[in-house]
Amino acid sequence: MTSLEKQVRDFGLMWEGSQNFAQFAFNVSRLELAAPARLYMCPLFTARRRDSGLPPVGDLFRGVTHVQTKDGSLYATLELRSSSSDTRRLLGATALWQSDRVPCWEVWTVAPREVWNRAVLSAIGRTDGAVKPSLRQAQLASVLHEFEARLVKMSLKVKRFASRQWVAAKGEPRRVGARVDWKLMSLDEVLAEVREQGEWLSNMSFELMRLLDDGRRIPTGVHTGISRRGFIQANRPYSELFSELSLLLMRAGKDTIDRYSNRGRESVPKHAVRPIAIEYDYPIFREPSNCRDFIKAAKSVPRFGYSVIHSNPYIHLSLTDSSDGSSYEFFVFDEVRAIVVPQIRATPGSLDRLLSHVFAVFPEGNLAELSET
Amino acid sequence: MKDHRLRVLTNSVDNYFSTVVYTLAFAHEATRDQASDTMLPGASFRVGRRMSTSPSNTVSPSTEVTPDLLVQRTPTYGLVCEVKTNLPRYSDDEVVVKRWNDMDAQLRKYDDNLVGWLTDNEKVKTSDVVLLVDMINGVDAADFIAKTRKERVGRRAPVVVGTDRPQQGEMFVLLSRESGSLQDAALNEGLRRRRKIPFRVLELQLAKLKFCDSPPPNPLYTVQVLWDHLFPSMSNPGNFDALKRAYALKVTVKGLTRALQTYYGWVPRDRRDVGIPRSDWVKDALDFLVETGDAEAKSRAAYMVYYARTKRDAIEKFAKRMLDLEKARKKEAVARRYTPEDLFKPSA
Repeated sequence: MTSLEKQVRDFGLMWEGSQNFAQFAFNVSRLELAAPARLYMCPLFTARRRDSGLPPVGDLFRGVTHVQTKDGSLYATLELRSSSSDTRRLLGATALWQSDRVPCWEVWTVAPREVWNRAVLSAIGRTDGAVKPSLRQAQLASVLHEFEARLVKMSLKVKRFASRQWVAAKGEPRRVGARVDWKLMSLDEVLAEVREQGEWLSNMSFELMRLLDDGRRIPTGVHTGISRRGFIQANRPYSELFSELSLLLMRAGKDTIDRYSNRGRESVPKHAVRPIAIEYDYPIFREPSNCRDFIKAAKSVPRFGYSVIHSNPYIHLSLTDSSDGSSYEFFVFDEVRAIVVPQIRATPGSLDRLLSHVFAVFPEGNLAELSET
Repeated sequence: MKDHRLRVLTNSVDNYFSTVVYTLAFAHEATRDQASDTMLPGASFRVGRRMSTSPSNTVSPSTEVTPDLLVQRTPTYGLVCEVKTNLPRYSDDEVVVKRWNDMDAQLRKYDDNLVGWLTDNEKVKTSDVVLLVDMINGVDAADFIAKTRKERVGRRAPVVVGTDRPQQGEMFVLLSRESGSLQDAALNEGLRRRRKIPFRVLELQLAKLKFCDSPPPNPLYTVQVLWDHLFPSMSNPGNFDALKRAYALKVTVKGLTRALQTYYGWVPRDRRDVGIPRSDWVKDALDFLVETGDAEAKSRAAYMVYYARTKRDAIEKFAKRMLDLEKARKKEAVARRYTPEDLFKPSA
């Protein structure tokens, strides 16, 4: 039995032996993980009511080989081939718990990164009614700050962060470029640097440091990461801290779901519009090239169709999500603000996909409710 | 590079939306107190309202007329407004002259003590007729009105208000009185000095209103609203037709008209309101979809729409199909004129 097979089996036994989530989280904290397996977690919000059963696992995950369910929880073993020509098996195991902390599902997975990406994340993205909210920049910073504040005799040291920015090569059209940095910095230093450079964070990995009485910081060997795509991961489960971080992530996800819910005009009293303003603190839309990039970002959202009604000097776009029939309009009438107007049908998942994609390739603004002036 | 005809068609969608913007901008200005820049208490407006003419109406006596916009500024004063922002520039061209004369006839219909105002007895003490034109036509419209003044003995001439959308910095609509004077001093002076209506103050209305009283110039506009917003909201896994690889949507002209009025237009509130968009605009759009192969007519008022969403720009897609259909129709007309026998006829 390989090390990965053993970890997957242990994870399954822990799920089987747990009566509830708290017991499961405690058991998992004792799990011994070794590369390439990591522990991943993301919150999953579904359109289903809490008591209406489990999400359709067959629809949800790719490569499912074995499924077990028990009251309010589900366990699945995942198996993938790394490529069609490769015969290596990639194993993983995932457990879904109906959370008693936040009204959502907690997806805990032990697997190599490839299995997490290909079998879990991509499948969630394709599943109607299942939403894994992305994190906006402010939420990312707030989750990490709050987590840092809860640490006792410990601190964070950022080991690696990936950010995006506009790159202008001479004679070529501007494009979005990624930057990965391995500087050892504190959380505040990283956030300040990213802000100063006009970048936006994609993900961040940090190590937990133990603070000694004499002020020295000792590495614990626990490496944890957070992604703006809305998940966390660690190389080692570490008692209640991972569970604590996952709670903060779930709360941020719930804020997003609450913000994006009840936007479709079919469900709003008197069919009123409930637009969201995307505000910038500098005149980003003064530059025609920025307007073009914004349109490009909106047009490139996967599985969205579009109509460009007006592109210059103001922007008026129509966007339709072909996966669930949600539709939106984008207006840019002034230099510091764009407006997204959910139309007849607009689901939280679709709105999250739309804004998450736009903010992955265009600088992120602050979201605000639009009210009558 | 887009084909010129294709560009004209795709621009027609934006031009129609601009007419909606201008209508709302004028309605916004006419319902506000210019001194405090707040909405006048009790002021309101309607798009597409039937007004009764008097027996002495010079064009249409004792009948109903529907101005593009009606503004009830105060309980005793109101405005009827004809929106002609897409009027061609005045010239000697027969077609152009006819359009301007038609517009004049339209304005004369409103030159009356109309009944149907938003007051208890549906009457007002004083009213004005406003012609809303593109700023570029402002002088021509003023001259045209002045030329026909003699024929308006005893009546007030329509007030010409020019509209523009200057393209710099923050977007706004510019309203300017080009000729005539309004009986409301504050509104009259405000428009004389020109008023800027930022898009920002209209954005909530623009987010939900897509139709005004004039019909769109072609079915493309209505098709875009149906295709981008209404049909997606009707699609669900239950009506997916695997063979056609599209959602099969059973629709009726009446149902779609009602839905468009509810979400993007004007629902009739009383017997005088006509309801915008009108059902014939929706029928035109559905007939166009039948021609493009995206729908089947089941009866005069019922259709089966096959809705499939692609990544392509919907406006461009349908504009191209419209041009293709036009080309095919021309070919067919030529083919009908010349039968195969014609080809073998000896030349005279």
